Amino acid sequence: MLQKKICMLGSFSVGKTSLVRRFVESIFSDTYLTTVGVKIDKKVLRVGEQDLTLMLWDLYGEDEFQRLRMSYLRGASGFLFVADGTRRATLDKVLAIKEEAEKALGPANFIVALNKSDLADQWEIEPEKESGLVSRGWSVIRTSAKTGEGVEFAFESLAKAMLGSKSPAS
Amino acid sequence: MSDEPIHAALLRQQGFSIFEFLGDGGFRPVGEPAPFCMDLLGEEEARAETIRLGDKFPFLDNFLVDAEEVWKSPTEERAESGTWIENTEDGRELALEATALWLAGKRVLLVQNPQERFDRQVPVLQTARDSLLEHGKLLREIQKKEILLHCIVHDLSQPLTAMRGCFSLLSLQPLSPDLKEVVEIAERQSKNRRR
Repeated sequence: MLQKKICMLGSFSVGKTSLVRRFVESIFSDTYLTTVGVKIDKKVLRVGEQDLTLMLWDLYGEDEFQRLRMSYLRGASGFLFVADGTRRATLDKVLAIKEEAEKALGPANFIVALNKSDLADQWEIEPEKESGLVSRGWSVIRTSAKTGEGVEFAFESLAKAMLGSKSPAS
Repeated sequence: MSDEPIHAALLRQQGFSIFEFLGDGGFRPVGEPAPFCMDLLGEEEARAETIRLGDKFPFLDNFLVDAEEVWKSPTEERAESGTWIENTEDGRELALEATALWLAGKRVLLVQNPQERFDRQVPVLQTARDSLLEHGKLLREIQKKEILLHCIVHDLSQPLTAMRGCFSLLSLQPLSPDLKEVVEIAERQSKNRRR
């Protein structure tokens, strides 16, 4: 069966692990538990006529305590960049990580997930900023690991993009 | 008595499993496997002649690219994998780290389960990140209040200026001594507020 590697990237506490858990196990917990190290989960997805195994690399969020190793991204066919819509700075972090990843591995398929869309009253990312990213041709999807909104769609969109592409970032 | 080499037994006691790299993704376990290896691979596989560790652990499969760089020719250098997490069949999370190096002329992979260190490290990082989140929340709260305060000041300044103008006009009118005193006080107070 075809297998593709997806790396979850973004600042700490944006919900990378929660998105993976929601997608793989359909569960969510409100308690923030920091990720230390790398955890790999697997999910089989049907894309069109094809079964596809997604290897989801849940990487610790980069901050002043832990630097991201670019070697973890080796062989990835796609990136799911995650920002927390209630913390504007996490989108800037996504842009910085994206640039660093592309410098190290070249262009790859990606989706930007603006997570925690259930917290609309605390939303900090301006619509202009969001539409600015879309106008660059980026896929920007609002997600909520809590309600499940946009989660399947984000992973499926990335899976479709990866299958359409012949050149994974390796 | 066990015929396990003493160094292998010592490392196993310290939570390491030793593997000799045979090439083409194959590894030969050296000595008795550490308990975490039994948990993750099962006893039979952990004691097999050759194990393809990259097939068992996708994280290691990725790390082997760096490891094989070290194993190209004898060197003092080593490659370290960083921490990754594996789940045992009974649902426990094991923290693992691998080091690729040359030992006694052999290409060696040390896999360690630094669980105690990991279990100490996690709450420290958790506290640090919780504090960062709390700090960020407070900063945003302060920022919001500063904006609100700025708006209030802006909204009030115009009516206050208008009132001062009225006091000035009033003070130019013929007023009774009592009223004159009241207007003077009001004017004085409005000047104080401006400072």
